Amino acid sequence: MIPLNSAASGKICIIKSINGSERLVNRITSIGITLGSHVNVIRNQPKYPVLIYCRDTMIAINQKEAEKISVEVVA
Amino acid sequence: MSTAQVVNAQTTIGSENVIALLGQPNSGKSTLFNGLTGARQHVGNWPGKTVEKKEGTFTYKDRKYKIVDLPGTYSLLANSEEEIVTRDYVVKGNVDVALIMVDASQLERSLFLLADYAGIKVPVIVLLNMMDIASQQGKIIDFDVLSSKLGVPVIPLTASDKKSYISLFENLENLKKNAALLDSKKLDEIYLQKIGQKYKETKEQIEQSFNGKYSATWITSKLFENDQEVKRILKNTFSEEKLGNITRRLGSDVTGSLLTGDCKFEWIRYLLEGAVKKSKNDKGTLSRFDRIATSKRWGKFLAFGIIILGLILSMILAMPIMMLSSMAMSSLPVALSHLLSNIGLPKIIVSLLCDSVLTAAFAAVAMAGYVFGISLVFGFLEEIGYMARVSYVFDNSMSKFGLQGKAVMPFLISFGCNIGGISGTKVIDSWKQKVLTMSMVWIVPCAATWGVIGLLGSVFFGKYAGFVILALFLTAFLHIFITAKLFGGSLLKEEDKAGLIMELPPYHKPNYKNLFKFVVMRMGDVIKKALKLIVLVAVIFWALSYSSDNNIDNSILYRIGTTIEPVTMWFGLRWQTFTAFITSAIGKEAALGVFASLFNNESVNLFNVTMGTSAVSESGLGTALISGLTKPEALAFMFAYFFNVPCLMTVAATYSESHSLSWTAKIAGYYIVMALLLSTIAYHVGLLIF
Repeated sequence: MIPLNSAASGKICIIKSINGSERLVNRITSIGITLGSHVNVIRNQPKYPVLIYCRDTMIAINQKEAEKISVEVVA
Repeated sequence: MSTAQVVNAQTTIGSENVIALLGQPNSGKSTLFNGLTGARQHVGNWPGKTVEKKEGTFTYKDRKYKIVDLPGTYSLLANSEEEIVTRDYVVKGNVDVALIMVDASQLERSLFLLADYAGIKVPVIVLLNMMDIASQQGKIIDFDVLSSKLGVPVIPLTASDKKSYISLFENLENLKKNAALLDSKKLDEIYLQKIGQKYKETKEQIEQSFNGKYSATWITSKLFENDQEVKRILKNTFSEEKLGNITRRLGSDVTGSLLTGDCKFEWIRYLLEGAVKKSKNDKGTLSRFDRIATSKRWGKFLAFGIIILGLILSMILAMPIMMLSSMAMSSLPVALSHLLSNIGLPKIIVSLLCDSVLTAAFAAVAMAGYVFGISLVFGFLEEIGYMARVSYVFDNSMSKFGLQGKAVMPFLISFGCNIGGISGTKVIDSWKQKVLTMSMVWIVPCAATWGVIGLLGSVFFGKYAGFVILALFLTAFLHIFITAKLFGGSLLKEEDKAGLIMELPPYHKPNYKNLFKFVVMRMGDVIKKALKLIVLVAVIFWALSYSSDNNIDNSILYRIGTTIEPVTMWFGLRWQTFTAFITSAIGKEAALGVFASLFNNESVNLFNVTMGTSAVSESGLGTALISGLTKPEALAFMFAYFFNVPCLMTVAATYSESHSLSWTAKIAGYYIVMALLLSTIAYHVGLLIF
């Protein structure tokens, strides 16, 4: 398991856990990122938000918040 | 429709039906709202809240409907003011029906809002928008299956095409008969299955005692999510102790929403089963353009380029209006004044009407030209989805000031003209962010400011002018940080300071006609608000500067200026520079003309000089200034001028965009105080150096 902001561009991951404040958990969930969902890491470059694709939606997540999401790389 | 759930819509006693419009961001909600209400809409803030309230009316077959466009939110959790305002309004606002907008092209994710709504006892109509894109994706949606599972009407439409509204209208016509509550039985089962027995027990406890428009299912699931607002509501029904027991047994904690989120998506899967046939499976690769737009090497350059191009285009679009207005401003007041004097009106009234009111009105129209150009071009960029990419690329830099990435655009535009920058803030997502951005954008020196600073710098400091300009810039940075802390502190709450989590919507073609109509309508709105403020200030300034023989010594401004000169000298400003400082809050480009008329003692109406309707010879200004001002005074003035309020039209535009007189006044007051403070410091530093 690695933090989302460590996943390289092009990888496909599964969300394993979210360790943040209630606010973060709520915001992440409501935009479609839930435990077990498949996430395609579109682009991860330092100092920029991580770009992921999940549930038909392209989402940008700040590096600091992405660090609180643990994922498992599957592809 | 499940007959067991049909509820008689409690239509309000008045003849209006009240509609609440909900939907996630980028779902096309505003397009529908504008399409339905056209010019019959009004924007303000929810009383006591920093959330915008948009309401409007429309008529269909002789019946009037009031519709409230609630803020776009991904859910109805108690995360943000926007969500709480939405919940409160739906439940307490005498709402007859809630229209929930769903994006058919991103169906699964888009239905989350509906899942969070399930259990609220206000009738719903589900609107499936962006059907055109969905069919491009190869999606085939069976509305009847969806409708029967949900127990409410499910209506496909394309928000940008008014012809597609007919089905919605027909449903609204039969509201009394057809109003139905969302069927949340299945969701309830899923909660029970995943949370367990404690869910059932808690729900029964709630059911026994709680009465209101929130069902026990909704309340219990929210309690499980540790929703503080819901706990507050329950305090009216349960004692502190009882509530504590309930929540403890339920086990409300931070992971609650992870589990309920799971449940909601499972409910969505159940809904879509048999109702949607997908053919394409999108992996979400970046388009070629997006690869550049989000690249770390080219993203920022591309954004700069597009913003500059956009600015040029807005100027071109604004040109006809601005030319018309300036032609009118140079000829009409004179013509009118002749006419009015000929019919015998006293000179002072003629001056009031022609010099002040008329000129101010034309200035407002010219300003509207800017607003029009900027709104059209950048409204377009926002509509197609490009501004989200700008937000991505500048998130890192802008968030240091507490701003979102998009805010870089108003800043850039302000280097040309602050009015444009303020208009540009319309693309900012939330009202709080918009006001914060505007408060910081005022610092940016516009083209006119440059000109004056450049001239003064070279006249007084020669080759050292560069140092002065450097000092101004460094101070400006400091100023911005202070502004960010001060206004950010009072506007933003903890929830707003969290890091960026933002959707990058797919690019889509905007409806040009709708965009144009909307911008024109907004321009009318802006003129109305701005006009009042501009004319008011113009009249006051006119009154202060009026003198019957155009000799400045006879005006009230001169008398006040010379009287308080001992005080203003603390700031390093004698009455001439102090007067110029005041007039620079009205208009920046006139500073040189004002100096010329004050130092050369020319017989010109100060008001006309400031508004630009009177030309003043600036020849010999250099020598006049050097003999009239000392170097420290010049330094003080440069600082006061640079950090002052940008110009009357910027202030008016700010009032228009924020629709808050109090915040506009706060920002203006802050800038004036800071300007005087900095000029004092500059003056005393100047005294030490020179």
